[in-house]
Amino acid sequence: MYSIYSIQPFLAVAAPLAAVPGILSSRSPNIREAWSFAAALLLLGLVACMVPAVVAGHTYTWVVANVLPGAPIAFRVDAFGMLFALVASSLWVVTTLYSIGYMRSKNEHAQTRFFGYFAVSIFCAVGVAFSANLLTMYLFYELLSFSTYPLVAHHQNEESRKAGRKYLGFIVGTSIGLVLPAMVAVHHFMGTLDFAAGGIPLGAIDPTTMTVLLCLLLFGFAKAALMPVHVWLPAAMVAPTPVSSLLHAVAVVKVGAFCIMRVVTDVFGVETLSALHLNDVVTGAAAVTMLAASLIALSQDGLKRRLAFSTIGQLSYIVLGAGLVTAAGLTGGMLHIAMHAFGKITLFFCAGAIYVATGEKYISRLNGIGYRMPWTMTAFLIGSLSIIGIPPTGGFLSKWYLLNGCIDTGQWLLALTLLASSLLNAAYFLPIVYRAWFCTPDQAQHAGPMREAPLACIVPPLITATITVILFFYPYPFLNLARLAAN
Amino acid sequence: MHDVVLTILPLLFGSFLAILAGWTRSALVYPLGVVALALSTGFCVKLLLGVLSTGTATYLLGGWSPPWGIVFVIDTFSAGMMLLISGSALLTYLAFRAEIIEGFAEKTAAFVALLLLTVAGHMGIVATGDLFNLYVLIEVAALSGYALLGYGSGRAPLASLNYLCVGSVGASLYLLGVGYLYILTGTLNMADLAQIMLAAPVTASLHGAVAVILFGLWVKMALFPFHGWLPGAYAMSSPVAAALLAPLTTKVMVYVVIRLLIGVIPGAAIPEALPDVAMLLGTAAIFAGSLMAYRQIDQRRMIAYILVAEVGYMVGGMFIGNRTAMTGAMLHIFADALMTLTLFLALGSIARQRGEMVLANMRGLFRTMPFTMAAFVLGAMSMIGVPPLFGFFSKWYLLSGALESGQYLFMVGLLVSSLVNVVLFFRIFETAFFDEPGESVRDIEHWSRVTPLAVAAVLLIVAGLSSGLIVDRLIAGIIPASLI
Repeated sequence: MYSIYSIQPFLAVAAPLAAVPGILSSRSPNIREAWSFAAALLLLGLVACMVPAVVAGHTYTWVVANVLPGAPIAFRVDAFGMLFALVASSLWVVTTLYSIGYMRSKNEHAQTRFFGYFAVSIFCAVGVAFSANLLTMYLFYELLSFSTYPLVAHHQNEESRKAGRKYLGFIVGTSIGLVLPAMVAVHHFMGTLDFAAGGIPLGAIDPTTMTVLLCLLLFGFAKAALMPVHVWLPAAMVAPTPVSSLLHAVAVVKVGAFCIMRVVTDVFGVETLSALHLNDVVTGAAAVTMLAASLIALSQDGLKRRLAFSTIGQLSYIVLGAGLVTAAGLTGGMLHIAMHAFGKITLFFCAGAIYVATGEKYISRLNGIGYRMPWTMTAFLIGSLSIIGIPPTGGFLSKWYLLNGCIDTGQWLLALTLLASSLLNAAYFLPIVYRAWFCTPDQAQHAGPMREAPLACIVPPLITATITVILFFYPYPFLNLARLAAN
Repeated sequence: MHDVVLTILPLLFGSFLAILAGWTRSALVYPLGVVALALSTGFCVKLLLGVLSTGTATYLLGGWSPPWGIVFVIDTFSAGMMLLISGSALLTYLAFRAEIIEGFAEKTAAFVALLLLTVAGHMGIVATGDLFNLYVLIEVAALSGYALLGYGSGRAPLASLNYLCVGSVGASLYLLGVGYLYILTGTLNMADLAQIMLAAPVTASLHGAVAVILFGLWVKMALFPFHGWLPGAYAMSSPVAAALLAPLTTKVMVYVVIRLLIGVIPGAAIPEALPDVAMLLGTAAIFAGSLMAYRQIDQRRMIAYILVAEVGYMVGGMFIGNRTAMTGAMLHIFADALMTLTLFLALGSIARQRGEMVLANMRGLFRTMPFTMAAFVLGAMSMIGVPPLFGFFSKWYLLSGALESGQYLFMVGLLVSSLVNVVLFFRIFETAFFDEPGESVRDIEHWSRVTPLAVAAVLLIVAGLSSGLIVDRLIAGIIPASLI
């Protein structure tokens, strides 16, 4: 267990940014997308290079600038950061392929801008993953908020203007209004913002202040969409589907959950939190969000909106894992970052594929779609199973660890909440699948023969669906990293 | 150390030569200004490097020793300020080449001469080590500034006259206080004065003198509620004068107060209630400035009101009374100057294409002027306080210092103003992003305007990333060890 001082984390973070000038200056769309692919593969390569050492328990560090005493802008790659970076960078490759299919089929405007900001967003997400302290994490978190705004507001119409306002209002409002003062306070009390396994020693800050700080940080990272700061996520669904899939199922929202997990484990420290019983605040907020979001999802007819509320519910699984403060719970929470990512991105890819092929956005208009788009709907089924947590899909594993975490600490109520939420997940996903295949000919709005979306829209969900299944049998890179980080 | 004088001399000579050239070879006027400002900036760099390696530099004008002669004292902080002033003036001058040459017809030579003179005045204020010379230089800077701001159409002369009246009151109050201090101590040299005041008995007249001086300077720096002159002066005038003076004047006045607080006036000489009053006004300035900025239609005026709030940041920071907050106030001088410069340069370029700076005239700017808008976004992000831009770090020190001393209302003010800034700037971004530019719009982005703007915007990032260095090398050594 030693720390390697190397520029590699910096290079990995900067890799997506390197593509931006290329994307902006390319003369033809093909060259432009080649830049995106090159950067995505470069990023994946640089991240993958660091995996062996990180799995062996070492860390990479790199200081960019000493800006504030005790809080430099610095990178540190540990197991948890690696897990998230691996998810984000591997899915960026797939999403780039999907974006090409989607954006070209829909003949979207301003595609250069789209791909440019997409690269910047990934840069920020990887930056959050590799941050060595709260300040660096905040820096990339803020940059991510602003760089995703043009993506959310891509359509440049009245609806996206409103959604953009809601998006920034909630996310920037909470980060400046809540996280910034909390961060200043932590720095004031501790003299440092570095992530350290022990966190704040017991007694260093009085319990009342600790409670306030925890709440500020828990709801301040609004990208995790804990209720009541979840409102921006359904609104942000006006964005083109590739944005919804990578950013609002993986990068952006997971950044929020990642930040909360980091704050719990490496800023406050699990021992301190459980000694003060403050972890109950975290699990409480997570449990409420989990159930409420699933209930709301039941009533949504817009496919992407239903997926969005499902995401809100699933994100609170991760937060719940953080709040359980046991090895199993933390492992489950961290693992869920990966498992949910692959499952949910599949679902979003499918939703986008349906929209590209048929123009349908509403669940009530999907009767018989399975006959027309069998591949898409098969991928959708696998994605749903993973979100519900049914073997043989990866989602089962993370839920298993989470349940174990609840039972270890004897929190039966939380265990029941988890199970109830799983049932609700089934209740809002399976009817879609049912509708797609099982309907009488006179109800059917779609029928064979097979007319799928373009190949670039079909292959990505099939890839991610396959990975979802593989992850059940072979979860090792992610599981090892999560276990390492949780201990 | 002749470097001190060499930073100012090119400006004075340039000013003189510009007038001469105006009579004979008017084509030479603009290049003369470039040369003068570039020389001055170059010598400022040399001065800063010199001070960083050999410590505080003192220059006795004419060889007369203090406390009788005129003396310039340059430490790391003031050397940084000198560079800031000359550098930002140079960037403004380069960016507005077209306006300066074409905009003022036969008055160009006078404009350039006044511009160089006001820059020299501002640099002199920073450099001088004498309270009375400080007054003279304040007037040099201000009088040429009033004249510069008076150039412009419509209500510019009226706004400038308003500024002149208020500014003269401020300067007179300052002079009055200096007079009292002279009666009490018999000296005007700052270092000398600091020694004498430390030993002098604390009397009501001493308190009175200090209060009058600070009050006068507050008027000059547009601290709420004495801010009335600022929005008019910077929003009605020509974009050149606004972009030149908005980053400098208020910041230099803040510099003077900080200089007096940390180097001249001992803590006992400050009336007991004064820091509380200052905190109150500073906090009020933040809230009032933000609120009034929100209500503006003209975007240049909007930014002028943000400046009112920013003055509140700095006044609050310097009177909180701990090292962190003082560091924040000092760092914010640099940050605020640089981001104001960026915003005013960008708005100037936009105004040249679109005319009046109302929201409706900013449609589709992201498409038609992408580089200018990119720089504007960086300036705005710095105002909001997004890391790693410069504005974040000074705000951090201010927040941290306020928390240390339990000034929670001031903290709330800082956060609220950041959030209001988000709204203010995203109003512009929304219009520039969502709305289509009109059919008749033919925006031109010329490299000669974009380059100085880009330099200012990139400096916001560079300075942000080196803020640790700036605090260590320029600021930390200046704050007396007694302030903790």
